[in-house]
Amino acid sequence: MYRFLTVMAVFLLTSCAQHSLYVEMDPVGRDAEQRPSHPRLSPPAHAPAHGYREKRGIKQGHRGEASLSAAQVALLNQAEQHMAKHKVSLAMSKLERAIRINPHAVKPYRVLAALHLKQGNRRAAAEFARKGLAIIAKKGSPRSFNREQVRLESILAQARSRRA
Amino acid sequence: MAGKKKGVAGKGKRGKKRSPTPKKGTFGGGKGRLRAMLSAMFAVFLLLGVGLLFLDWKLQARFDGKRWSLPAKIYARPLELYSGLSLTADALEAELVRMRYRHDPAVKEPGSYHRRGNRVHFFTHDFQFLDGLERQRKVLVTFSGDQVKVIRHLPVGNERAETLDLLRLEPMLIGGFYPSHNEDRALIQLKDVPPLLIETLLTVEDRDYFEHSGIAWSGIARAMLVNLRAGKIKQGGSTLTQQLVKNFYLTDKRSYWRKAIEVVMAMLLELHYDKAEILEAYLNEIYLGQNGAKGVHGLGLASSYYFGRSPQQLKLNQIALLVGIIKGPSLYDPRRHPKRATKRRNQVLSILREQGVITEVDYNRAFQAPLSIARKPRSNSPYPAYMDLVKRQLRRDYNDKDISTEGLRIFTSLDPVLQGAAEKAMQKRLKQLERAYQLPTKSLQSAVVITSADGGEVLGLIGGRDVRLPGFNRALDAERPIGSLLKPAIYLTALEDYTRYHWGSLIEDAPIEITAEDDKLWAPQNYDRISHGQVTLLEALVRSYNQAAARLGMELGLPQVLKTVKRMGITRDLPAYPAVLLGGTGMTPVEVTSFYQTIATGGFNTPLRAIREVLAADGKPLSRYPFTVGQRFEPQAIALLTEGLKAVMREGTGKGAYTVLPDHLEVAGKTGTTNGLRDSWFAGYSEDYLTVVWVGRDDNGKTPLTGSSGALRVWADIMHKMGAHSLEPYQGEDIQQVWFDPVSQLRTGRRCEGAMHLPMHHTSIPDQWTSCGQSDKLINRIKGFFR
Repeated sequence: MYRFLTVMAVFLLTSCAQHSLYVEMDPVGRDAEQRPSHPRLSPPAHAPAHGYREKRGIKQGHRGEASLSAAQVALLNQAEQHMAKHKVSLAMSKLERAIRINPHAVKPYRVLAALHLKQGNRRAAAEFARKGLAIIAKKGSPRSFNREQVRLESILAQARSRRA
Repeated sequence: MAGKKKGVAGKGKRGKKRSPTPKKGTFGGGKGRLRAMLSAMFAVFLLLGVGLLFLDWKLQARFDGKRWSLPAKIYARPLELYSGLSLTADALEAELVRMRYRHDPAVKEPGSYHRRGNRVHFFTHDFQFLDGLERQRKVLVTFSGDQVKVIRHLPVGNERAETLDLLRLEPMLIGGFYPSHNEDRALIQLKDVPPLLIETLLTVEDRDYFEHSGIAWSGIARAMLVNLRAGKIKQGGSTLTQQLVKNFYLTDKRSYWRKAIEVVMAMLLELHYDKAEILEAYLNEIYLGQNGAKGVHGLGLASSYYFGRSPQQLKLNQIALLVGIIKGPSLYDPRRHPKRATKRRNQVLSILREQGVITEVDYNRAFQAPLSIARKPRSNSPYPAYMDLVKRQLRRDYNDKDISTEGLRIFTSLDPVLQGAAEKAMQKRLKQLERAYQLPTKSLQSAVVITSADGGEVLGLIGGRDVRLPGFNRALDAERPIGSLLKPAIYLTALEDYTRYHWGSLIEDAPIEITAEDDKLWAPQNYDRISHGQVTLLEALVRSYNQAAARLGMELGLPQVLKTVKRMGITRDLPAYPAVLLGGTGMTPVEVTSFYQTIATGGFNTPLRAIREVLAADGKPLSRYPFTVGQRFEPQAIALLTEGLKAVMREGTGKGAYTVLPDHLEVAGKTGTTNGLRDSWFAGYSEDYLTVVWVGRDDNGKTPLTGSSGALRVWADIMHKMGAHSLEPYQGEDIQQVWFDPVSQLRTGRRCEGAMHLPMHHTSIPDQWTSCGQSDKLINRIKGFFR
């Protein structure tokens, strides 16, 4: 019982400590002048919690995978039509245009990776899949990327296994 | 010609019939001698005939090829419009004007436009791209602030109005050249040449041009007389046709044999082609000077080279000079020998007056006019440095056969809007720097490379301060020590080892002496000549401490750091001596761009590309320059490095950029300064652009500029003008922001003195906490209890 109460008390204390104890406590036992003034990697005071998305203006709308622009969708559709007709060069050209419009959208990379895999360019397929996965990693793997992530990992696995 | 062929062939047949006769042993008799003579004559005629045929074939093949050859056309990137694009109505209008669209309120024809407020109405041209034909359209683009809101296709005839997702404009033509000859040309057609220019040319060079058949016998006789008197060949007495033949097929060597060939070929040329065709070829082919390694051929290019204007814009005095130069382009070079050139021009003017081509009044006016030469030779393209890059890439990547294909269409990634903005910003800032530091005017030079941060496409390139001047391309060829620009490679090598290093790791910024392999002692100094003791890696980068960086580099191992440099895209072998750590080695701005491109793309190497694709004259793709990526570093390591380079901009050597850039703009970059302040560098990137700037002197002299006070200022101006967007933060869970106490190397609270808010890889984050400098035993005991 005693042990349980101790645990509870300590739990309460520690949870408070994370937010107040360490934050509010005055410096103890240190000569402040001896400490160098370090550059802080803290966001500026006016910065929103996740960068500056609110201020990005037009490109902002395209960053999330859920919001591929109409222009990108059109280009992806055209690329798929060319792929169906085995016009690889034309399909690639369309996909590159889609990437130029928004290099942070994952789908064009995934389609490009799939196209390279189909062509037997396993190295290129793997690299484009990695690029797509790196974008997802940078975004913090939001839910909207889940399906793309699975597909990219599948392409990467296929490229690796075929190479092996 | 066919008749001639028959004649020669006939002689050949007769020769064969007669050939058995001498074999019968009839030599020695009179009849035999006659036959032998006839045989010899026949052989000579046969040889002459074959020679003539050969000359004729050579003449026709080359002339037809030259006459109809088309220069390769080089295009800038096509502007792609879509809803949401960051573009103002002003910028679109400027783009249309650059592409020579006419203002027409009715917008009836392709190539016309009209603007009313935030609505731009225009009619595009048909254009064949690699991935299809972009049909001509009449469109209305509506803007909302600095964004494209809607693109409407307006019906023409039976068409239906519709909203377009995407509209690609035809690209702007930025230049042309003959890839196979590495020559610039500005082809002109006879109908576009001012009559006065033709009249002057004929009066001075060949008055009987329309009467003779390629040869002016009187001229040749006169020249022979002069040569006989002089005892050597002094005059040629050539007609325009002969001069053209000489230019096309023969060398400049003066000999009677060459003259004989020239005469024969001139006559053959006149047999095959009419006078107008020959004159047009002459106007486009004649040699008129030398621009560095390239010959200036044709009146079109020469008028732009000497006067900075088209042939149609030339005045009488300029026409007279241009025609006068033909006699000796080197001898009468108006830039090198202005007095001699003026004398020659006046001589031409006198001839024109004597022949009644111009009046006395015209003569006097032109006689008194100055040479009016453009100050420096202008390029055929408004973007000579970029064109230079394109040409080099073509030569590197294509075989001669492909490149010789005439009428190539080369699509590049040049963005004229960004290029123009960068040129203005660079020129303005250099002037300001010279004023501020009281430097001689035009003593500073600069080079700039701008790429798309993710795609590695070269969007703009400045090879020197005078942006229209072809010549030494500093962006590609100026190999200068890069100073601290190499430091990110050292820190990246450390940051990749998550378990050993993070931004809060301590390193000694103290004097360091290293003996290199050649027994030379290397003892780097900090810029302020002070050693700062124990500092964090972040502080060492942000303040660009040399001793700390050198110590870290040696701790990691020189080969390891050099390996990182290679992985970052530097293909050349760097010498393995310690001074390399502080950028003691030379690199060109383009190489530095490759190096930073790998960071800007999040660890993926994307080779720099200026060319997107090349189409043959018939529209078939010759080659594509596909977008390629290759992962060189984990995105997490690059994200950490980017955070450090962002701190450089906020609190370190790059913070001066925020006197120009808006405070909310997140950018990352690094300054570079070399010994004696000879080179001022800055390399930095936003979400969309990577820009590298070098500022210095061509004579490698000292400047008062550091990376911060020189190149950074140019860089900030350029990024501001381009409207760069903020870097997006890395949001992956494997990188966390933690409050860190560098002294105890433990986590700490936000308000503790000296606490740093650092991005750390989750494996680098210490488990233990400290309460503002003293490790809190109680808390750690409690945590231990739960563990």
